[in-house]
Amino acid sequence: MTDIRPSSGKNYIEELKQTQLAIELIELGARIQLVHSETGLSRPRLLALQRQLTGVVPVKGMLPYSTDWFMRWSHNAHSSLFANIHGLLGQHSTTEGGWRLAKSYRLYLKQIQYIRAEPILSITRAWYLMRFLDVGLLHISTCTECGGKFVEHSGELHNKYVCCFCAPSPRSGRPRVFKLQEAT
Amino acid sequence: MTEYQEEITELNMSYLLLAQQMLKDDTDAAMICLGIGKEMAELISGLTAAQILSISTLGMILGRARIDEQILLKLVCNHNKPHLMPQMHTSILMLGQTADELV
Repeated sequence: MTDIRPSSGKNYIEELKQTQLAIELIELGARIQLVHSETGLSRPRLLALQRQLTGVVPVKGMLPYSTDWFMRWSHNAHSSLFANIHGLLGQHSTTEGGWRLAKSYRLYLKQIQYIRAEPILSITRAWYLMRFLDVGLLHISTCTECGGKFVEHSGELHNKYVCCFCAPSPRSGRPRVFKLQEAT
Repeated sequence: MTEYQEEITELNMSYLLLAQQMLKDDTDAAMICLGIGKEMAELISGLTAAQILSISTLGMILGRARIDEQILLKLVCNHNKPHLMPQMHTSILMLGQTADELV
């Protein structure tokens, strides 16, 4: 995404919109790499914005990058919840990109709050989830037991997907092992 | 059918007025929460007070239950496989169902 240069008059409004989005994402706990990717604002600008908004030193280091994280039991439940919400928003709303992510995440937090659970999914993880789904590393499967839509690794060699809730030992936390046993 | 007309009217009006308020506040969130699509959302938002009254007093409950038989049956049958997050499971099921219905 090209950097927005404030000196060019016609980009003022766009820059304002991107700054609004940046503020929203930062308030939701997004890492700077995510905000930079979604808004195109420069990193120094974003770091200053983050310092101003949160007052804390931004977390340094590389972003987590693993599809396995989303397959562990409770991670999968939260991820699937988020994916369902994000999918619904994409269906009949006009929000796209960063705003859709922010909106979905807020709704996810609300839902988690209603059922008195702790949010396991950070907005940065949710962003990665969407990217993995976009490129096809992960996909949405329908559970053959309950009919719910859940996040799953792509290319699994079986035709009978059972979700983390319907699987016989949900606390084992290793659904991939379960599937291997199912296939034999 | 008309035995509970007063209660039904109250229920219907509460539902429609709440729906209108929610749609006005945050349309996208309301659509997900109510389980309705864009067209229905626009229709409900556009109802006048007179129209709301008119449709509420018919002695029939307007809001149909969203938990369809499939979901209920599955949850009832799964009681022998208890797990820690039944509410999470139900939320996921309902959202998926809404997505299917609104296609």
